[in-house]
Amino acid sequence: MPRKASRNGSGLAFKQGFMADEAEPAAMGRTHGEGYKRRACRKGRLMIKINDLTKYFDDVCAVNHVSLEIGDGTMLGLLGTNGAGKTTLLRVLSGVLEADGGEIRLDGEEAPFSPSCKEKLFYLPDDPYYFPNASIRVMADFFGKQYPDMDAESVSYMAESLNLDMLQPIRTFSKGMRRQAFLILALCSRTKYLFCDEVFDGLDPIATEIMKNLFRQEMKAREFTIVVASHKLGELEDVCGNIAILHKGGVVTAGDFRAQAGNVRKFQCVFPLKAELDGIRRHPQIVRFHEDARFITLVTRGDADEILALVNGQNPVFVGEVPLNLEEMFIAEMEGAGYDIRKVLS
Amino acid sequence: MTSEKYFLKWVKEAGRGHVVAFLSWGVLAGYALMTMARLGLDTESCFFGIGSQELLWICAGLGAAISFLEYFYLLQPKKLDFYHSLPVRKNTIFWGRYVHGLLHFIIPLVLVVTACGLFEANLDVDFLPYSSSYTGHGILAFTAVFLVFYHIGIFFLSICGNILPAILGYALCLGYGHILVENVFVTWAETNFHAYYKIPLLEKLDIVLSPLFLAGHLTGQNLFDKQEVLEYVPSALHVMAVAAWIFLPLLLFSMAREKRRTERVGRMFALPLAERVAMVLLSFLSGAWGGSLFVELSGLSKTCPVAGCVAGALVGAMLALAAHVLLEWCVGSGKKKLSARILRRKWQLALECAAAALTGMFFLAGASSFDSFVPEWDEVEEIGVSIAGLDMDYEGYMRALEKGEQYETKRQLDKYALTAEGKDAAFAWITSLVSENGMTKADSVEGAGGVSKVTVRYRMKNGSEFYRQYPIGEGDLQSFASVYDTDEYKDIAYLAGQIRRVSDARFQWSDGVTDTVLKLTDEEKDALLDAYGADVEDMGMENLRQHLPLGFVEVTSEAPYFSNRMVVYPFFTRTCGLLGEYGVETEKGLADYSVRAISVTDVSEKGMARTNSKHYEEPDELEAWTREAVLKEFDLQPLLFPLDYSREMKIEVRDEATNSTVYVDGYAR
Repeated sequence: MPRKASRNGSGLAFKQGFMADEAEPAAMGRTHGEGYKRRACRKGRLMIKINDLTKYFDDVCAVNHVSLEIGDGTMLGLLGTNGAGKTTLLRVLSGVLEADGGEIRLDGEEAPFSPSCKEKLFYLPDDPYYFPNASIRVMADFFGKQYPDMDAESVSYMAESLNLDMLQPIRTFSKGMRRQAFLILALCSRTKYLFCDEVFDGLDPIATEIMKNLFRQEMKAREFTIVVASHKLGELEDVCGNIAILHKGGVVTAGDFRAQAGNVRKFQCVFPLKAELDGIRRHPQIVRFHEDARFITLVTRGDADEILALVNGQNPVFVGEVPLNLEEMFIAEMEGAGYDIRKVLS
Repeated sequence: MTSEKYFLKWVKEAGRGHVVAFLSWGVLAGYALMTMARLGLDTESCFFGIGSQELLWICAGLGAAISFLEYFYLLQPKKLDFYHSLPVRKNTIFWGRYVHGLLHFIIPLVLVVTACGLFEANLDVDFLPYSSSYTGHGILAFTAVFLVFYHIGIFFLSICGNILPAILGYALCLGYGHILVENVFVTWAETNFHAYYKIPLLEKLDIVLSPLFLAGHLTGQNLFDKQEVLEYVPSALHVMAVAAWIFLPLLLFSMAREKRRTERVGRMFALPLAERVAMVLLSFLSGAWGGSLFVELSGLSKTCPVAGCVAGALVGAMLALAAHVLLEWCVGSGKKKLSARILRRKWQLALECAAAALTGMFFLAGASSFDSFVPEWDEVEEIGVSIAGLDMDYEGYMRALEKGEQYETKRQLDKYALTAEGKDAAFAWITSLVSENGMTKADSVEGAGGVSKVTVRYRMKNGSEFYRQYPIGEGDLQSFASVYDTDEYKDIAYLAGQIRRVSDARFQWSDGVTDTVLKLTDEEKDALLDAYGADVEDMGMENLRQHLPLGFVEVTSEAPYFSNRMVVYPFFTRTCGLLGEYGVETEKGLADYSVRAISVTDVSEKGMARTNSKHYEEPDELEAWTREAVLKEFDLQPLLFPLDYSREMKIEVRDEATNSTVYVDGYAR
């Protein structure tokens, strides 16, 4: 079968993709504040609109009135514990499952699961199916028949770069190699949307980094929107700025948390033995208070000057501000919204 | 891309792995080779199309196997996620596989049957005129068989979410109708209807509700004669039933495919409605079957039918409840407790229990009208009568007395099908019999003080048939003489008219030990038949109580299936006289032969066991036993002229004429 030439120079983008690059997160979530929406809209047009989506498995509500808006060219991470509804949401989005209520629109289409519309999306499940004894080439040929923009040349190039044999049966690959192979196939299908479940599960750190860079490059090279589901925050931290947290089927919160966490700050302090810390601990702006002997870590929300005045009133030996990681931002956001984040992310 | 190309792409895609192709082409090619090899040796009893049991099993098996191979993906979540996320309609994948499976059966079938047809046409001149019609009928009939089993398979894979219920459901579907009819309806009918012999409607139901039986009837599995096979056309009822078995599952799985929920894969049923229907059907069958089995095994209905029926209904309702609970446990999911799940479908449960319980009651309610049924005289076309022990040997008599016996009784019902004066006499006799014995069970002949039982078949002018069976006492048997003594009945019993119709008949006298060929002219044959006819006309049933036959005139002919014999009794004076003129010693019996030895074996009641065999060779013993002995061949009226069936004899006779030893079987007188 003749290979299709890569479009938009994406073959080149892949070649460059092994170099680290920064993600430009720009998804938006609706649930908590219109501010998210406004920020996200600046980055791209609304391409995926999920409105009041509901999915029941008998009496269990797996997706509970979820509304999300995902802009073009963004990467949204779906985060949640096992059973939170991430996979179900992705299966509904990709047309595998039928929703019991609500609406999905891809590019504004009212029938998002017509074949012509589904040519724009690729669903990569946690444990993807492949034909018995099929090699990457066989699967690439198959996907080439399904997705008109499939770039078979890039599949070969990327497989070679990752030391994957195009002709070796996929069943003989390790779990990580299989994951790499399918991520390659998913990227090279050149669909507009990619829905991945547990996307980096099974990949070693190097392969994970390579794949993340490939995602970034692909998003730079063309209009490419990715929705990834994971239960590990660390996997998504450096690649998705936009996260939607799912819990018991519903969206707890969603949006660009780096932007949102602007008023959340973290301080590390050392106090003398006789210092009285109860006033600081009980202050309403304290999101987190961690005490290790006289070494205190504080996460604050809102105006930090008032807290700093309280801290300085106790004559600290040392006070310094340190940067927040994504997990801490989440915790702050979630606890600010009234959730016990440890129950959500544990 | 046009939609046709798009669809064909998925038909082709369905063949990935080529398992279906290998299976179907391989099996049918193997069948072709084996059949051609057999046809090379025998074209009389080897059939490659209609009448071929091997092809029936192959088509049914391929139908089931291909349906499971093509649609197994419906039960595999990974495959479903894969296929249903692709830019293709679910419809296209589904029907692409349907067409793929169908093509991979029809193409090799047409090639194989056509090749066999051409092959046999080259070998067998008799087959040539039928070659195209037989081949065409074969292709159509076996394609229909395939479609029945293919569609049933797809149906169960569409409604089930797991391979185990799909297989069990398929197997149960094949047997459900048969179990329901034979083990429930027939059992209840036998239990409640005293005059029950068989109900043609239930027999038809048994066939049309059982795909395997139906496929057998469609493809002529009950035929063995080549001419019948070549000219076979299935009945309209069977063709309609097959069409229903093809189109109903097609319609149902088309609807099920639309409603099927992917997330229910892994559970017993992919459709909640299918779950409910399956529960209703299985609970009802379990209850009704269990109830009828209980009544049959307990024997309660023999002492008190109403009590038996009530007990059966209670057992049936309890078993339906148990089956419902078991199925709820099997299909149950979620966090609800079993007790809550059992009661979630209260009305359904009540319906299942009530249906199971009322099945037996329904038969009990209809018992009276069934037993007292006598059709309107002017609606009856023909009456078939069979009295166990009349015009049959002792072994046939014993068989005919068995419960539900079909062969011997059917043979007699077909033979003694009365349409003229015999019908009128039989109708009058049966009417009086029903008023006397209609409410007594025919199986309890001895208990009711009866001597035998009579089976009656009414063939109505509208084509329908009704069967009844009644016990008869000595008085009834005596009054049956009014039927027996009609010319119509005797003509059937003694075949005089039938023999006359054969022009090239050859006659041979048999006295039970040796045979003598009669060299008769046509005039002598006519004279013999005339004399025999006159003797038969003059005889009465009561004569048979006093005399045993002297021998037989065996009549053979080149006419197909013709082989008959004229029984000659001592009171057939005209016949005996003529035979004497033709050189036959009609009075010569066993005592006139040189008997060398006799073995006498004691036989238990109803011939179940043989013990205590004694061998006699002494002249005085031989003389005594020879006087006692009656040849088994002469035992034609065990009811009217019973012998001592507790002693069987094996008699060694020396035939001086041929200088040979002849062994004949007999009973004591």
